[in-house]
Amino acid sequence: MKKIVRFSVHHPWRVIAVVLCITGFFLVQVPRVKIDPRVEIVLRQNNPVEAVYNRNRQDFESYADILIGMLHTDIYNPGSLEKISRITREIEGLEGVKKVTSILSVKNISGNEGGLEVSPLAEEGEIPATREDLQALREKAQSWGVYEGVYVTADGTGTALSVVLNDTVETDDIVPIYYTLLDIMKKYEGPEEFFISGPTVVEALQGHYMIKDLKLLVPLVNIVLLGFLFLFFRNFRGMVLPLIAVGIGSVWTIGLMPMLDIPLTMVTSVLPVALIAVGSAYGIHVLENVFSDAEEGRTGSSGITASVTRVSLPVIMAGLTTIASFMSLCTSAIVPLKQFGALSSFGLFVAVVISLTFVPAVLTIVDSRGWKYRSHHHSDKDLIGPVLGFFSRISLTRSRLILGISLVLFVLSVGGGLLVKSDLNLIEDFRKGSPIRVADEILNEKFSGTSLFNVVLDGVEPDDIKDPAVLREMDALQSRLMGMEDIGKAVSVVDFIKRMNQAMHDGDPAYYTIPESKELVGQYLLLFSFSGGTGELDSFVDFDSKSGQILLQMKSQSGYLAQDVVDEVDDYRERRLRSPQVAGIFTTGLSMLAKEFNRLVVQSQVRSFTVSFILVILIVSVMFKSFKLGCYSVVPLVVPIVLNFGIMGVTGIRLNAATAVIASLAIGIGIDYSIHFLSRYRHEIRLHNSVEKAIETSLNTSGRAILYNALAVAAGFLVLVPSNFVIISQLGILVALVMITTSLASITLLPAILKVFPPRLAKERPGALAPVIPLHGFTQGIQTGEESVVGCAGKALNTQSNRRIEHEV
Amino acid sequence: MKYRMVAASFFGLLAAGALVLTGQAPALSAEMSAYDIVKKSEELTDQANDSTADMTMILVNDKGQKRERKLSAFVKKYGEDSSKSILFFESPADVKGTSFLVWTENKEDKQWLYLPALQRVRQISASGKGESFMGTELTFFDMGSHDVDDYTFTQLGEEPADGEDCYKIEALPKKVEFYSKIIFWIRKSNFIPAKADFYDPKGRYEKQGTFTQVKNIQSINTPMHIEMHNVQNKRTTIIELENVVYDTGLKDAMFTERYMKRGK
Repeated sequence: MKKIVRFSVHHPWRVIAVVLCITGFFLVQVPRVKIDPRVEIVLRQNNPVEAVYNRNRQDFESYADILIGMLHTDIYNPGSLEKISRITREIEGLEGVKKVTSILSVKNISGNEGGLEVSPLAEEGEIPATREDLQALREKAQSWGVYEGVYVTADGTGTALSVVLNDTVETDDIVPIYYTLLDIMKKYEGPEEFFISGPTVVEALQGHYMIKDLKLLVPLVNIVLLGFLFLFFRNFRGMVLPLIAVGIGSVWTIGLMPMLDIPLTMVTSVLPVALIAVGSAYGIHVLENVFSDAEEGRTGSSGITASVTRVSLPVIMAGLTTIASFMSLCTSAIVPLKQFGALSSFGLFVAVVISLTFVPAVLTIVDSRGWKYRSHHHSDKDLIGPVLGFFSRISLTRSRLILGISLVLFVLSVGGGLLVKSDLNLIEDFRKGSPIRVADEILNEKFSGTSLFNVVLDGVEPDDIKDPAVLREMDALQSRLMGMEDIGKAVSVVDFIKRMNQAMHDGDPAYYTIPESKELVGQYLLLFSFSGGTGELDSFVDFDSKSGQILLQMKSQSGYLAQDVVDEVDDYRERRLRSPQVAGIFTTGLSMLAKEFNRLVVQSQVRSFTVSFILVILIVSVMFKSFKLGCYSVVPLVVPIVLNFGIMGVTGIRLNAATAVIASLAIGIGIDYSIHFLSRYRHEIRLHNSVEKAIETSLNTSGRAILYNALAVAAGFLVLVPSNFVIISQLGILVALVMITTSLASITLLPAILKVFPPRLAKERPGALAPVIPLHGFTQGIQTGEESVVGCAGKALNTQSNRRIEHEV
Repeated sequence: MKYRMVAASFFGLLAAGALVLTGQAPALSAEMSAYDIVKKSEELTDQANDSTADMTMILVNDKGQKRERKLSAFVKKYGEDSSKSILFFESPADVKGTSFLVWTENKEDKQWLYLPALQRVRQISASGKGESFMGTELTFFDMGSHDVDDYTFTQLGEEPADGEDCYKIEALPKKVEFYSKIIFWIRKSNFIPAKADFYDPKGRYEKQGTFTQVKNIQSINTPMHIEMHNVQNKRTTIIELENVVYDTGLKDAMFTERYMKRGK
């Protein structure tokens, strides 16, 4: 390590050049980062649920990608209809739009004695204007239930256009289409009101808002960091260098994303903020040591080499534990979580490396120029002191009470934690009151629902779907599904066939039934294709008529609703299904992905917990050469993390892709608190041989650093609160909360355990790893000398007690 | 004036010809050669008074899956703008015996369909021109006849297609409705079109038709293999002709409701 540091100090320009070159290389990659808010990428490529979803999208044509609702007191008036017609034409002219269907253009099947008509509800280019025409349109629209709630509401106060996009349209292209649509709607607004939503729009807007978020939150977290650095160092290089170090780490990380084909998702978009909040600690720690040595006259390349070498081990150890914990997310089956784990680990690793090479290199150059900086010893009011005093008192005098309270809290939280629901619900990720969410709510209220869900019946042979037996099964299942709550509509080829049967029997409603012969069904479908209706059926029947699907419109995209549908379908399959030609019934749609996500996220939480706990216990045990201390170190993490889930359960915050990272963050950062406290405790116990005294001293030194640091990281994550997404906002609050509770646990619960069950510690050998871990994040350095700590927290310049530890080590 | 597209083959007298024009003198001398070529093409293909053919229609989707239909077609011309055609479906099994009758009188279509499973003939309404015909990559517009006055023709030089030297001719509609541009390759040897590119109203390349395996039947050159490939949705429609016979003197009685029920 010393060699590396010495090299950096002796060849500063070379190191700086290399780092800048690599940074330049990654910086060039940054614009290539792709945003991919699609739900399907959340699951692994070989996930069966995802495979079924993709197969379905290939087999059947899209039914509706974007829904535009128009509300008015009565839409059956020439003005409103004229608007629909003109809007339709304008949208059809847009790049990427394949088809627009409205109440005017939707196909109607009607029949009388003379013949059969399959035609749009209104003649092409002719808008009903007279009272009779309007009435005729209203009657036609109401004559077939298939339209109701889809293209027009039953009371005629709302009508909807469904837009289908070309297969070639990428998610990136949808945002501009959405904004163009908004512009078009604006032109026609009044007295009619317009609302746009739909699964594709919601997905695409997520990506759009992610970018908005980054533009707001990244500068904000930088400002917060700068503020803390200013309070801490009160000089320019102290403010800039840690920022640069973690900034370089972030650039490398983001630059790596397009190279590894990792897109920006809801989870990975948090990376920059998380890296800056967590990873600035290393640079701060290095600078703090260099500055304090400089104050004591140890300057120049030898001074810097010595300071940096001394802090390198604690910095590396701190990095290692945090990286280990973040890495545990890589065990997740949820792709963005995995990616977040790998990338954040990489970013933190880079931040560590840069802090130990690039930062000393820059310092050497600055130092050799003889630039001075102002010392920053301030000893203003100490707000933390009384707090620490209080905790130190109670943790010693009321240890058992603290243990008891912790236990009760733990048990209660487990109870609360069991209430936690996990769900992937795109629309609910947006804030209440955001235009897309408002639009979606209104459309769901007035129409059948903006979430689409597919129930597919697979035949055995091609053309099986034309078999009346299969159609009857489909019909029965369809009506059962229609009866479910939150399902606004169920449409299938059955509706078309019944309607044609009726039309071919002179419009007699008694013939709104499935015909008896397969031939007739085949002939009806041919007839429909002669009438130019093929496109309509492509959403319902696959290419060789082997499979058909019931399309459900639902009011919610929740995985729980998907579960209800699956249960209903399973029940049907097991108890009602008779036809041997139905090889299988399966369900798919975005909600099914949500349901699968729910299953996996819980599983992956448990797995990454276990992995990170084991890793952390191992690292700490090796570090302290004591398995017992390894176990002690995770106790103050367990309670706050369980408490976090308890809070989530009680407040109804869902376990989602964002909140799923909290536990790993808490372990990664919180473990450093434990290590920090335990290393000081072990040191003190050897000096004083009294548990109480050791705890008290540890609390006053390490405890202070821990609290400062926790406040700083919390502040860093609170930056996420103004995010456009509810779930990111919640992530910010919960991380801040868990930082506070973890730090409190490590200065109350940990001492209490040490008091009640004091571990027998092995004799410390010189040279053993007894790291004084720097704390993450930025902390204020307003405190007095003796109580300061090595970490990046506390008064910048190290006190003798710290130095002592390090030297003794 | 009118021209018809090949696909119309199946209704049309022309079991061939991507574009067949019955033109009068060209409006502009600059366009002379383009008109001449098209006119000649029409003259050579539109010779028969009636035609009979067996057809295999193969629909291929973007994944390469195929769906096949067999039918036999009979067409009889009744003057310049009028004709009658009837189609009988042979396969798939469920639609066997279904027949489709079209009377075109002065470009107005009347259509009837006979469903054997119901033993009923029903007149059916004409579809929108831009709609797909029977799920193929051909639209009703492609099948119909159009006024040549609606287009401006330009010769773009010569270019080989289907291994033969061709005239390359651009047709621009004066009012963009279904296509913004069509480019034809017409064989120099026999004036039978070899290829045609269609551009959608937004100006993007939409589909390509190819007309190959030209066979001389009763001294009328007839492409027996027609393909329409939609480059946007990656689907293809293939039409294979067999047993093409011209001028057998088809009876008027063939094009009636009674005959629809009887089968060919």
